[in-house]
Amino acid sequence: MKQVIEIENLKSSIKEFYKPEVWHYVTLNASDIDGVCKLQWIFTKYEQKDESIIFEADVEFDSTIDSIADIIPSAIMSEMEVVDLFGLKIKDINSGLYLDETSMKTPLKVNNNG
Amino acid sequence: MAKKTINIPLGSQHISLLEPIRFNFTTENEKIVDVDWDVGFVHRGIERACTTDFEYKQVGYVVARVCGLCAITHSLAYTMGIEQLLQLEIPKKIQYLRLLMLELDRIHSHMLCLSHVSENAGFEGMFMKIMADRELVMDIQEAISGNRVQFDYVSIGGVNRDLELETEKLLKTNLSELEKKIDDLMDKFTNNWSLSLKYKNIGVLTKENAYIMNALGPMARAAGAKIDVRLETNNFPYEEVGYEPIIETSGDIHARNLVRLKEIKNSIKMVRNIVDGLPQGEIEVKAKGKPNGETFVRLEAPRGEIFYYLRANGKNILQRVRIKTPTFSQIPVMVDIFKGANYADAHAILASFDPCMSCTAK
Repeated sequence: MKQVIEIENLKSSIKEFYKPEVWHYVTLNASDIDGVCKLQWIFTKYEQKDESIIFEADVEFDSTIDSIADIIPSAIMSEMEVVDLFGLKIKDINSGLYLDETSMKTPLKVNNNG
Repeated sequence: MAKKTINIPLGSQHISLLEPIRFNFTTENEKIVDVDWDVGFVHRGIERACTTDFEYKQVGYVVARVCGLCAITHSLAYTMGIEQLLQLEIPKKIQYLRLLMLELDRIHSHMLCLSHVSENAGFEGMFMKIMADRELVMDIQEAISGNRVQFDYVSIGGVNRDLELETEKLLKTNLSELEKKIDDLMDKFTNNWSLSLKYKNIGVLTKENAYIMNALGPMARAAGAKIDVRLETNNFPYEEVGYEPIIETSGDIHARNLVRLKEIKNSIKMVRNIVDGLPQGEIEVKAKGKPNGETFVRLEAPRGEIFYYLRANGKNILQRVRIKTPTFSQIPVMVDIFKGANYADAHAILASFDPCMSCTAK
């Protein structure tokens, strides 16, 4: 099931929905679709067959979005990954998970030729 | 005794773990009170390569190289995603053969972890014994797929080899021998007094924290959390071949050891059932067209959930290949477990996480 959200409502939407013993946070997935950053927060239900919810939002690459790591601690990993590999800014999340100063910047943006 | 604060690094190169991960422990006397971490030493840009340098038919062989331990899970998760985008129905025989390799992968990977846990608790002889016994399953995998590590067994629409009669005989003989060795190990890990001192009540993850921190795989199940992708998807006929969820409750290294040992036993049972009930039929169905749309696949790898997201637009090069591996998402769980532990136990605790940095820094 997919739920399109306004990016401003990200934290409130996750907070309202998420229960740690019911929903498993799989990951934050980002894709560069025609220059727009498509973000998907993917959850699956514990002990239920193929039941999932995807919160989806399109944002500009120069946007700054909220982190949900204060609600779901393990989200910090996928948020750091998105910051590094797509150059998106996420509040309180630093770059440098994978890339250092000499690395290619934002390698997963489509028009990045190194 | 006066309180003394010391910073002690573990890694990025350390004798207790032959992979590049760094934890920086802040300790007060012997107790770990804070943990800093760094996992980004060997980022290889595989996701980018999959959408720039390789066509979708080649990517299965690229992602198999994300990891040498769960190579079959990576190539299978990717391949299943492509098959979904191509709307390809996979016959039961192919599903059975794929499942066979998945569970054999779990056996050898769990044995590798158990050997490292032994070594890090000072039991080097046991490390060597488990590694030697592990050859029994490595030989089976080689006989089935032709390779010991990078199997390249799965292809879009099928598998690359059928199960030969000779291989089936080898499989049954080796598994019988292995099962006795696992029983012996179970006895040692359960009853040996010295091992108990090293593992019991050490590196504890509570059930509540397992859910809060999104723990996965044997780490979660050892804490009493029923978290297993095999329970949550219809990807494979797990119930049909005898899958049983293995749950322990103490959440310590000892519990993680027991979960892995019992899962090996369950995987042996499943492998036997798969071979005995292997349906007749072809090992490949022809794929038509080009992938279009988006999908995701989750599989239970030896360390927990592997997740692949694919997005395609009907061309040979995919728009997005997203790989999420179990160790990557469990770094916060590891930090949580380390806090409050004694530094002297850190190496054994780390080994019991069974971390895979090759997967993490894909």
